[in-house]
Amino acid sequence: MAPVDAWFNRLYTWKHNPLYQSGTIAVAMLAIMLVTGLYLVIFYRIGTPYESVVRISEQAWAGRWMRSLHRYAADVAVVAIAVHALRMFAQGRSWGPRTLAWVSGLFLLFLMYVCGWTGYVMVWDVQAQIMAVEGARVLDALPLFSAPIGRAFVGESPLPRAFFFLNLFLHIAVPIGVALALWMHVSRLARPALLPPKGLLWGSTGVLLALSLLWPAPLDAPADLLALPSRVSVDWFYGFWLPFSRSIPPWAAWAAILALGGIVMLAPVWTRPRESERVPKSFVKERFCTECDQCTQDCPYDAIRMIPRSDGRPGRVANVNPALCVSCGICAGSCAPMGVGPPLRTGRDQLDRVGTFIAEHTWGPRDVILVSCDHAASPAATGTALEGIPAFPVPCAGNLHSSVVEYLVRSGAGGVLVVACPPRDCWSREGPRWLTERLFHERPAELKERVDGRRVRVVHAAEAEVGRLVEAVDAFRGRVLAMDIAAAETDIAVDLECEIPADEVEV
Amino acid sequence: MTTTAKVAGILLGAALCTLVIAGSRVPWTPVPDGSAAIRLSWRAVLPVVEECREPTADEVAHLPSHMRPAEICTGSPITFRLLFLLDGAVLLDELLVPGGSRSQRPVHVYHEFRVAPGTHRIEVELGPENAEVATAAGATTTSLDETVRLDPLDIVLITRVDGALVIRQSGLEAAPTRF
Ligand code: HEM
Ligand code: SF4
Ligand code: SF4
Repeated sequence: MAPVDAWFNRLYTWKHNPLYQSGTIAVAMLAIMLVTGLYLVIFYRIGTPYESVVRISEQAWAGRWMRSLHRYAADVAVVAIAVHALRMFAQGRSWGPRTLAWVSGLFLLFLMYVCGWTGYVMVWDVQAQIMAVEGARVLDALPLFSAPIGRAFVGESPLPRAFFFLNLFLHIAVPIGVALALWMHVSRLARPALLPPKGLLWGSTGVLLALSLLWPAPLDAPADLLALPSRVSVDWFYGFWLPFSRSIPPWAAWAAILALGGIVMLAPVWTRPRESERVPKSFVKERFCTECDQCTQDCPYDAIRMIPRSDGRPGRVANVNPALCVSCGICAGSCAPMGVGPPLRTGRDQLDRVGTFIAEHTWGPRDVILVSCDHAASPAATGTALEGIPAFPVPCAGNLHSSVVEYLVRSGAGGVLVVACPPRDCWSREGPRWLTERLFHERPAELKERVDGRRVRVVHAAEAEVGRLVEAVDAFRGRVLAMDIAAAETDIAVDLECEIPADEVEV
Repeated sequence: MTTTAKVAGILLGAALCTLVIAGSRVPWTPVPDGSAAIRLSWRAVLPVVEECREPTADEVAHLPSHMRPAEICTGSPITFRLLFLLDGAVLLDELLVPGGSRSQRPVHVYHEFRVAPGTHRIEVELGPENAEVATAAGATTTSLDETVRLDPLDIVLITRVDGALVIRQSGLEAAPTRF
């Protein structure tokens, strides 16, 4: 996936990379389907379904492309959902507090398929007939119905209006379920990004609209229940199962659906790392907390709230809800007094680590030091290009406490370049965004004014964008060399804002 | 971002969307061998042999007066046998047993057989298993023996209308093809 990401970043920039925006593209497609669907339903007739779709397709000015856009958006949505789900899986975002998002995501996908099935049946052409007949065949294998529903499609009598009414009702009602499931899907996220950036939103809509005009959706011959279907054009995204439904017995189809569904549904169980490999949940050192509220604002999972203090002092203190915390560590970078974060990742732990790092390396005012996020382009992957440049690793650039950057600058380095993931692809959602705000836009815990801002840079380079990293290092090194101010300081005393009693220092 | 990258991005986006749209209209021939089909499909309520008697005093004693039945009936189902022969070969030999605690649920016959196009003799027989019990309940045997011509992808539907087995075929309204 990484090389493809890098290619897409080149063509679209990370901000508009459709792979990073797959979830929001799916939402945008749902919105397009809603708007076009409202138009189509005005002209659809349950008494003469096929004829009404023919009439819609004959409306050269609106109906034809509205219908095509509705269908194409549904197809793009399926592709976008698949990419989105794969990314979440590949990034290990499928367990713990994300279980709700995972399971509701699968439910959303299921609802999309119900919507697609009913939508195609509405047309009542040959493809619709196949979908209805094969769908009924598979459903009839379940001991749910007193009469086989497949009998409705044998041609004994014409399909009643009630069938098309029920189908239309489902096609309209299920999207309400989609909206509710989507709400649940993002309910654990703070500030969920629901729509893609404008350029991508209008660009993708424009391309689909152009294709709808140039290559309108096909319409097969009308359904004939007393004839086997001849050649049809099938929507592969919604009808991929049709070619197999006849070749395996329905019970085997159900066994396959249940096995596959079960495996994917249980991903939160089998993708969860072993207890010993899991990063522990964040915690708050109550005595350091100054009630600034910043971590509650920055936590991408709304896992922190303020509660009354328990140490007898007046006021409130931050409190992490372990059931919601994904251990992303972003709060560690939020807290000026370094009172919150997962064990061994708090600002204080970072300072300890960077202290050792500084002691182990030597550099001068012309040298650049890297601080690199574990998920971004790795300096080690650049071969010899960045050889000799010290790199301080952090699990996520969003964890980075600004004091660490200050410490590095004031230890005499010419400049500190933070290598972060593209913001839309942060495994912890908002890491690079808060990092930039903290380093350059005074978001607490901000980089102090006393640090020369010209000596600090951030580069967004995805895992496979090693070339971009090398370029950024070269450019930054050039800028550092051009500065004639000496950077070296001695006698660094990092201001921790709160005094740490020796017995409370986390090791 | 260079103009070349922008143009390439738009072109790639359009190409990907075109690919998706092409995937939304994949030509497919569901019945590649051009076979035809014969369907048997109907719903029937089978007769039940009922034996009724007056309830005993004990049976009604604990029931409130408005719930006391005038008679208590037990039904035993009449099992029907369905035979379907195509060109003299038995393709289906099935017992139709009504469900439900009083055996009063309707039975549903629902089968489809793929056959080679051409002319075929169809024989269907539907009759009670136990002739004696059936005669008492007035159940009779119905049958159908027809020769039909099926073009590729044609479907012949054998169904029941007013107790009689009939053939339906596309374009033939309700009338069967006779030779
Ligand atoms: C109609 C279908 C879907 C839509 C519209 C959708 C949309 C979204 C959106 C907009 C987000 C928020 C992204 C953010 O702000 O960071 C999200 C998050 C998420 N989605 Fe989906 N999604 C869908 C289906 C799925 C499926 C099928 C899965 C996986 C099986 C899935 C897994 C997730 C997970 C795990 C998150 C949370 C990420 C995190 O907590 O870091 N989604 N989705
Ligand atoms: S950021 Fe730190 S000081 Fe501020 S509320 Fe959170 S824990 Fe307390
Ligand atoms: S580690 Fe901190 S920022 Fe991340 S989810 Fe937990 S409490 Fe929120």
